[in-house]
Amino acid sequence: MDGFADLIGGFGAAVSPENLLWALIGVTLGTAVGVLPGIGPALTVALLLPLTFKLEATSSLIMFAGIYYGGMYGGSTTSILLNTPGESASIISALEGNKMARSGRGAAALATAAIGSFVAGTIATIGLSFVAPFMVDLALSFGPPEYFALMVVAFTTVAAVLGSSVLRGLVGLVIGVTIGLIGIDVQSGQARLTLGVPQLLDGVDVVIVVVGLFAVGEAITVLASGERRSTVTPAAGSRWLSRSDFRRSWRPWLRGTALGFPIGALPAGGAEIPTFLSYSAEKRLSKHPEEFGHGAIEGVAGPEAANNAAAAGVLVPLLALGLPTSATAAVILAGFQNYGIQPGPLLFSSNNALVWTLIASLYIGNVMLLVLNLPLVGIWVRLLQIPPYYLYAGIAVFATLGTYAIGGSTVDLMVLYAVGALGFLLRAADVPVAPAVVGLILGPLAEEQLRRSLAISQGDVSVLWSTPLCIALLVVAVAAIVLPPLARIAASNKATRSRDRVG
Amino acid sequence: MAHNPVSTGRRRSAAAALLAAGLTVTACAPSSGDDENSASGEAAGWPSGDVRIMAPADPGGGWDQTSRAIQDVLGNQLDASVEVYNVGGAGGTVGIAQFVQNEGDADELMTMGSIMVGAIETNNSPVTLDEVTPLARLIGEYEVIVAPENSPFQTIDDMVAAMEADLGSVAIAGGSAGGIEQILAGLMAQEIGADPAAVNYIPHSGGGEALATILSGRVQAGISGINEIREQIEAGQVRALAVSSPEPIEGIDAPTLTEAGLDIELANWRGMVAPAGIDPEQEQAAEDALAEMVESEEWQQVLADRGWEDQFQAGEEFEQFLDEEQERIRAVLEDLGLVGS
Amino acid sequence: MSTASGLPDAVGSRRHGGSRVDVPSLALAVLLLVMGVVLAVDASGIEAPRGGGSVGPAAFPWAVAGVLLVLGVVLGAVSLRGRPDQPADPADAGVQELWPEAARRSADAPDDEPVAEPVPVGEERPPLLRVRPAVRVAVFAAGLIAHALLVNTAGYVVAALVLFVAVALAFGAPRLVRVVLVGLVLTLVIFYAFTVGLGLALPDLGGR
Repeated sequence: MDGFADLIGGFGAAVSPENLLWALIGVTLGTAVGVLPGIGPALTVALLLPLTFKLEATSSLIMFAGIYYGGMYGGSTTSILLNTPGESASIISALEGNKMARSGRGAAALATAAIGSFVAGTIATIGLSFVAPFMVDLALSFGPPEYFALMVVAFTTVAAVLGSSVLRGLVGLVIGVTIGLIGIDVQSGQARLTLGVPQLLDGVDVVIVVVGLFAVGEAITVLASGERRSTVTPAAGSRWLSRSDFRRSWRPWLRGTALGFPIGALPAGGAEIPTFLSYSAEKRLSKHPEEFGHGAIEGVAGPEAANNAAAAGVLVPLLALGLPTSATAAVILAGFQNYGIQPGPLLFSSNNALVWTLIASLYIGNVMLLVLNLPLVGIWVRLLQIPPYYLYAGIAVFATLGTYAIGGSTVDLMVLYAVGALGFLLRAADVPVAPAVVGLILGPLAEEQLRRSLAISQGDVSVLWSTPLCIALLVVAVAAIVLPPLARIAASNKATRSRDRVG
Repeated sequence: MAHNPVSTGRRRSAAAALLAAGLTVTACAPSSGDDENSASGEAAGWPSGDVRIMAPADPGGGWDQTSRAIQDVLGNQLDASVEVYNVGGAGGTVGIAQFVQNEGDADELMTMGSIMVGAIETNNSPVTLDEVTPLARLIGEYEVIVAPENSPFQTIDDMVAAMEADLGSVAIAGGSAGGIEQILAGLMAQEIGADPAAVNYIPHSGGGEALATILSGRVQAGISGINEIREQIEAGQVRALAVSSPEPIEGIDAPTLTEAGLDIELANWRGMVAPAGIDPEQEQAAEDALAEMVESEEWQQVLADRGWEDQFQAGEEFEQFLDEEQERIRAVLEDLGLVGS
Repeated sequence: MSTASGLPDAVGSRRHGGSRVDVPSLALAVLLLVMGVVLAVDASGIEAPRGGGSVGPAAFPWAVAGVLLVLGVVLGAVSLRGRPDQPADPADAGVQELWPEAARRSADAPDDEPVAEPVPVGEERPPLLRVRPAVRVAVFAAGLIAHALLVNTAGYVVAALVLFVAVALAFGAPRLVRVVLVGLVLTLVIFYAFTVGLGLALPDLGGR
């Protein structure tokens, strides 16, 4: 494959002062809209993409690349600083990131997110340029049984986000699974748990649940706690990342990328599952597992990298197969068709100069994003010094705006409020909210793939372990459950023995 | 009344204008205030104000794209602004329930199609297409039956023979339950004298997802809109077995179902309706305007770019087609067990 | 961890001493039971289409309903027994502590940087609305509901302004006029940026 020469050609088309200006505008707009609480990347891209249609194709693509990555990055900023994620893929960053921000380390959290996004975005874009055909082969070997096995692996990571009480963690998880049941069952076309409300037939939008549980739920919690003034720790030190932060971040960046890109490239992989897997992996591999839950920088670096690598991974099936695998990707596909690009298996071989321009634009957008965002870190952190009454009033306005804009219905607003009240009750009962989002995402996928597998096999359960890939994934899942307790037992035996020897 | 994300409602005079920041100038004139019959010297007085088109789906889908294409072309043709807004959900049944509240206002239009006909049945929608004024069918897309590379089926006859021998052994992947692909699978079963409900149809929430399953080779066959899978056919990743059109499709080496001995023709069509109770003269004028739009070079270019087929049909002809289509789809869905008979 | 985690007075933090009834958990347990019953009733009404696969559309709802009921009973029992003040292993509290205060306790600045003390931000003036937390939650909720009712009738700017002012008052804003002005500027900027700039058709005055 002559990818390298094509890529150079792409850069040739993309790099001009005018195009760089469009890239800057794209990155700025993407970040600016993405940073609004409750407005996630999918809505950001849907809102901003039409703007690019007015430009000629090359400028349009380069501006689009900026918007895409900018929206992704902007979304993490609010998750970390305000604990108000606008999409499901950044809830994991919020877990540790918000803890860091509350204890005055917001700048470090944002910096590791920005650099991690850059590293992951760049590596994943290189992957997109050169290994897309191999990724496509991998993606195509995933049928329903393999997806079910992947869901089993993902469920085993839930343990990492369950928290200290297994009971309360499970409560959160099952509440999420229950919300996931709402709507028309894909396999049978039957309505489930819609209570006769037609707006619920399509299910409850994940974004609404995320915004409700986090932004609205947190606001009620703070109010009910009787706290008048929020207190934050002022940012400590002027550096974004200390040396120890960097030492603790770079491996999670790379591991997050390694998880995010391939899973993002799977037609039903998505960006959430790699963030769950990354968080779980970092918690297990960390030398400071006790810091998890109190602002461990690895817990921001890994999932953020995974999220952004998956964002580039999503482009693999989109460009190479014409498969839009996320809401964001569907909007992008419609955009491509506007320039006469028909993504599909012939796209790369037809040596479409525009495709390489797009890929070159992704590199440029990524660099631009880092350049724009590192200096902005200091400004974003000051968001925390806005008086809480303005801050929460603003969050409420944007959260309702984002919800209303998705479906244009006040029923969605009511669902948002109900989920917000639920989020408050969960917090009051010390039930973690993250597992609810995990259950909401994994539950329907696991059910769908299981039932689809069994339908194809006409009820023969052995289809679930019928291929080496299925077996390999299931082994990973079993190992994830069995190994940590075994390791703990082994470690405590060793400790006992050494104590015995000393004593 | 709900409002849309991502509408680009704009006056054509401002269409090309750009701010330095890349924002489009969209003269958002208040659309509610000027409903009195002031504008346009057109004889029948349509439109009387700004035209609003409801896309009864979320941004990005087929109805949304169709609505926005109409917005662009019709906006240039009429002396009025055309605004598109989305009311997504449940195959368009959420949208139509809201749309019928515009009774008597001919400036309010809605994009719809065969999917809505099916969704009204399967969702048991209280509001049906009897409560709107059909204007025209605009475009259509035919379906293609494909086999993955590793499938034993070389021709549609192989597939039919396998279905006759053991219906359950032929897993067919396609779009949503009760959607156009499952209806086609059910019609095939009917043609070979089998029970449509016993077809091993594997539904997916979208064409893209179904395509992934087809390409994984885990199913023996798949059904898809032609445009969604044309690239894969050309690249040899799937074999086209038959198409659902009356005539063979250019560039696709497969017979029509009728040629293969199955008397089936099925299109995923999209059209335009107005609310009930509008003035007959306005109805005629709106249909004339759509007819004029379809003739335009701009529209023909849109069709060519998107791979849509011109299936224009208006007035009585369309109303009759719509009645027959509702009847036919309802019957199949009953046979599939998706609608109580 | 009831005192340390700053549990809301409004929900009744009757857990001091570690043996009182844990009211929020009990409420959640009741909710789980209700959800389980609703789900079971719904599942019993699902008709599997003829010729459907081996696992029908009602199978998962039944299973989830069962789990909800079991968890509801267990959580109910645990909440009646009350909970100890501290988790068994504080180091393992994990992400369960989404409480802001929890993070402050464990402000873990890196070893090469000084540990900073939290400082209050915001104005020193007393809030306009001096009421109990439960009332402030009610004001917040009223703002949200009013927003949903107004957005399609009075238009976006009015609805969003009402929401902004209600939330700001609930959170202890000291000056009404300033809040209204800030809210007006914000909502107008949003309205024009989104309708004119991005083509998002938000309802204008009159709600269309």
